[in-house]
Amino acid sequence: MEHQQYLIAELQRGDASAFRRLVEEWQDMVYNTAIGIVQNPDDADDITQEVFVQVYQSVSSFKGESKLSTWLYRITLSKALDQEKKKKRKKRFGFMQSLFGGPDEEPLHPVEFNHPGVQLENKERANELFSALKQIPDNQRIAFTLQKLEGQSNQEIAEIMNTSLYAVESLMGRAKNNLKKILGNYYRENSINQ
Amino acid sequence: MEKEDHINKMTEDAMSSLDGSVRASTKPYLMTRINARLSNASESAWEKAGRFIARPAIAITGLCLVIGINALIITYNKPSPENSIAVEQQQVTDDFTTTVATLYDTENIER
Repeated sequence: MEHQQYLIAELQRGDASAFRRLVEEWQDMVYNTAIGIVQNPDDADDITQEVFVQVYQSVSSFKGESKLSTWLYRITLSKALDQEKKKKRKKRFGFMQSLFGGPDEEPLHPVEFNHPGVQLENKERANELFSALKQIPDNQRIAFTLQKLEGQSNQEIAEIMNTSLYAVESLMGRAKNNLKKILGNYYRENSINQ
Repeated sequence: MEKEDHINKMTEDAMSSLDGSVRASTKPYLMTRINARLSNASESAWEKAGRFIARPAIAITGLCLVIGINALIITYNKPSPENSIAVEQQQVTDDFTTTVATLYDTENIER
């Protein structure tokens, strides 16, 4: 915590080497969180850059009321959700264009997403889980992703999401139930088709 | 029943598929890309203003506004028929007058 305060003080003084250290230290955390939400490596890379640009521009207003990591998680999640909304808008616009005979576009999201950090033997199931994650509400998805991909405790998730511990436990419970339902239906349909 | 058990097993496997995963890493040279973004972001106020004006919506609105103001000025300043006759007469008089105002005349008038 002391190290973080020192780093923030250096950043607020405009120290370029401090900013480099910040990026090196937190880049994977930011990228991993972003890729878990947007499920696209290029978009996650874009978000990672945007997060650090925002940090650089607004670090002077950071009061240190929350941990640096909490602040970074909040910026990342907000940017990732914004990116998703932007993609959905584009998708809708593309659909409208196709209705009026516009040019055909490639799908905006890859059909299959393989998280680079998932163990090889779990890739297929993880891919199905990521597809199911797209179908649950944002706050449930955030809580689940932070716990499963970032290994955050419910208490830390509550701080990041600015909510109570009880609310996070409830979100996690609902997220798991919804995911099981979606996955169960998917496997049932697939076994019928086979 | 066996099929349902199999489905439950697959569901549980999927739910625990992220266990033991490691963090995904960014592509190399992230710092270079961030620095490039930062230099783009720190453009001057004039550059920002230029970009704002160059937006099609703003440019078209501005153009329409200029054309509208011109049209309004032309409409309001249209000379009435009586005025136009008087102006024409004055122009003819000016064109055919033989009197030349000289500095000498002006000085005489002032005295």
